[in-house]
Amino acid sequence: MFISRGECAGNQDDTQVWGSVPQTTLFTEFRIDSQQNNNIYVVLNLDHALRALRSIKSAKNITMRLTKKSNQAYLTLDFRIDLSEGEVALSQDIPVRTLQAAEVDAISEPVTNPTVQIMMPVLKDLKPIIDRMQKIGTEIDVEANMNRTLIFKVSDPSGVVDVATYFKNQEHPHSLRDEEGGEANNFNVDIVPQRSTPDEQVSVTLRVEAKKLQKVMHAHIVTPRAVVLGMMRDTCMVVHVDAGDGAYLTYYLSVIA
Amino acid sequence: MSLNPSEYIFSAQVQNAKMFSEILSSVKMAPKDNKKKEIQWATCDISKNSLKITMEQDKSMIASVELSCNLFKNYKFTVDADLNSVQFQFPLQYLIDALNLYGASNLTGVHICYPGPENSLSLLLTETEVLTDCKIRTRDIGDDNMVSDFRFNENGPPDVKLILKSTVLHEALNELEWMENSVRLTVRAAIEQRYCGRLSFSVDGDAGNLTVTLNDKEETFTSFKADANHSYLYKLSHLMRVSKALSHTSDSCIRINDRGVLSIQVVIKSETKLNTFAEFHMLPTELTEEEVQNVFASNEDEDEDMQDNQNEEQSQAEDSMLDV
Repeated sequence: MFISRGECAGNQDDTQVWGSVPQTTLFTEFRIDSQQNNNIYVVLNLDHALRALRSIKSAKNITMRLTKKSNQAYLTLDFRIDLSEGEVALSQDIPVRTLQAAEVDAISEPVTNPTVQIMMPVLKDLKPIIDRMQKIGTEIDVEANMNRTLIFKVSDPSGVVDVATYFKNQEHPHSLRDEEGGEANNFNVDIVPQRSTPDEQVSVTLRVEAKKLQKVMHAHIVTPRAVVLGMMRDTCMVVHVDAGDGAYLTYYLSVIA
Repeated sequence: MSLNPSEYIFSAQVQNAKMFSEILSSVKMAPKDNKKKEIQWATCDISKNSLKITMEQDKSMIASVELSCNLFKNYKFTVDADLNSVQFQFPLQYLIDALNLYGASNLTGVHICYPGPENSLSLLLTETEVLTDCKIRTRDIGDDNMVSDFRFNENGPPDVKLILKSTVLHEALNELEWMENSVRLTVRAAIEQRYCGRLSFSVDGDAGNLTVTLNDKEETFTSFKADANHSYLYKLSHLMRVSKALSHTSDSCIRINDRGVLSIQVVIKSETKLNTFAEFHMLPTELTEEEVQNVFASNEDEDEDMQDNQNEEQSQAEDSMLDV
């Protein structure tokens, strides 16, 4: 199951989030049949989906089906809730639009080749820092090098205050891989650099909108096992969140030159 | 990264950023016209024994807090022999934001340094392995940004001195929250065997009027000293500002001098044995003598509308004694 945001939302923020959860993590039974290689692509409104999902929090026997009623496609959730008087069967319909093959081909995950990759600090700890920085200024400078250093900087518009937070002992993803004896990790292959000996002098500084970075911090909710930051000079910033059990979220953020 | 104390006029370490931030927040002022982007400059006065932060609003209220050197670790103040203190101004809100950077945590260590005039205030915050470096611009005090001094003690000890628990004062002030621009603060001196001392706050608005009264009975006040009756009008927004600061304090002391300047001193709660004081000075708005007389004539006749629950029965009994 892939989740894609950004251009679909039609809002000013061109951030994209690509995520995946293995079907075995979410479902006990899974049946799918389609002409597109047994893949089905739908577009739905996240607010609707969220509302529907909230109502099934304490539900039992949840079934999710793709249905069609009067020419409108729905993702239908059937479930049962326990009330004091007994059990109630409920159904929620989330309106969706299925995508044709041509539209599907037009969607592709951004390809990245980061100059610098570094592990992010625990998002839950970083979140209050980014929140306070956003109060001081609208743009945050992120600087990272291949020598275990990650720096976040912000200045207020009138130049009266400058704040810089240093993380000096961050691991790098490829070095982790070496320690584990080349064991496969869950990271997107595109992110891991090909060279084996990193150039420690390499350093990239990117300026992003503070609000975009704040949104990435929300991912702390999934209690990530690891979060990798990838930086491409003058281009974009990638944050890959490994949520464990094969699930992940990758954020692609555009930067301010 | 470390700071070399010998390069600075002032250098000190704070063990607990959260406590420091709460103390500073007590003198923070609301921005004028709700323009959040406007910078509020506070005055900092550093001497060998203490650090004093002062904030002024509307030229009618001054809030200040004095932090003893004993609240800090490695407090170093080095100036030329002829100078007793240094003064400069800095944006208070940014200092508070910086102190709260890691979230509400007790573990943040803070190292604060001031290199001298025309230099930035430097803050180094450490929490486990994370380091934050803040530079806050300062400005010197010139003719156009001098801080007023209301000279509260100019004519000797004040006529009115009331000490009470901050929770009592806070509850009383909160009743006034939704009212008009000015509040009348009235102190009625006790007359033995007739009536007890009383402090009341009254507001007169289009919607009606409201009086909150605290009587000197049943340990409402820790101490009540008033030589004569006093009544003055003050800006409600100033008193509400004081009310907000009361939540981190234990005791309050209300004093009024012969010119009607109101002083509210509060003791800030702290885990250490050291008491830190914050003080708020307010100038009265204009008041004619006739208005003062009217206040006392009507106070003796009227029924109390709003009071502390514990005083209700006593004051009703009292009223029946007052038909003069």
